[in-house]
Amino acid sequence: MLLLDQAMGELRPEVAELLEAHLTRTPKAARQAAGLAATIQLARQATALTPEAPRRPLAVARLRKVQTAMRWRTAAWELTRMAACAVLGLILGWQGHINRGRPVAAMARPGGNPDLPAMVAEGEQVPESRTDFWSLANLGEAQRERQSGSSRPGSRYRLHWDSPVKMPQVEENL
Amino acid sequence: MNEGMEQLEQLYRETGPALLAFFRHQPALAGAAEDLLQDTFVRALQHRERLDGAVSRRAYLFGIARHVGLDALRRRKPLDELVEPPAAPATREDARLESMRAAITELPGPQRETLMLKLQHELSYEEIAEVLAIPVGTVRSRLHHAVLQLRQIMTGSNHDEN
Repeated sequence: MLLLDQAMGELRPEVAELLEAHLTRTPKAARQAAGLAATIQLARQATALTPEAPRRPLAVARLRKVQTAMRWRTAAWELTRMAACAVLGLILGWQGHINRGRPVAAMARPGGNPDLPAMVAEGEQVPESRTDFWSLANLGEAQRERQSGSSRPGSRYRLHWDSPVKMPQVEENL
Repeated sequence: MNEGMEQLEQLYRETGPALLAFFRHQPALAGAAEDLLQDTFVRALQHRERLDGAVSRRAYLFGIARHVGLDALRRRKPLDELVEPPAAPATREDARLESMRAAITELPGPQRETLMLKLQHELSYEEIAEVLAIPVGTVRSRLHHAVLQLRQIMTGSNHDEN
């Protein structure tokens, strides 16, 4: 392999120097190297090309056309993505709007499994949950507590959360 | 936009002849070599950011040219096979060169392709690896086997080069 690399001119100078030194001491390897070099030289001659310049210049007009088409395609793609996001937002917003204040059982019935027992009685209004972690009520209360430096009366622990990328710490109220 | 086109035109002037020779050397593509050369640059423009980020633009263009050639071969109609191969050099050459050409055509396709990129187009191992999308070790191995086989054919003996 090294002999081939040498014949192909791919050896680093320092390695080529070492190899040369080795070849001067080992005539058999030197003969092999010479044989390889001769074969490569002959192959080079046999496949030699006479490169000629293209008869036609670069088709700049065609390239500009392609470039313009690509720009339009990119713009159309961006618009499609934005439109898709807007439509998705509208659909979700509309769904949220029409479901607001609707009884849970009534919401669950049409698409849900009719065999499952309703968890909430038909027609019953479900108040906004205060127990959901992300509920506005909870967040608002936490904010108020943080501002006032106090915690919920009677609660022994409080949640200390500096950053959303860190785990929240539970601290004891002193 | 104009600057980009100027850069492409510069690349065309620099690598166009070599790429044209690359197409012309393949008998099935020789007739359409000029068109394929233009297609190569159109495709390069379509992936402009890759061309700009390529370690070797020359190698990248050879890679595209190779794919353009393969696509052309796939689409080729039977009539296209009638396209004449490139004319043989006018000078009278000795029999050893003819034997060597015959020996090279006997090589397995991947070895021949690798050898041609090295000998005809003077690409480095790394550039050939980029063109063919193979590891550098595979390039070396292919060249090694190709040269050994050529030597064996030309000398009619079995040499151990290791």
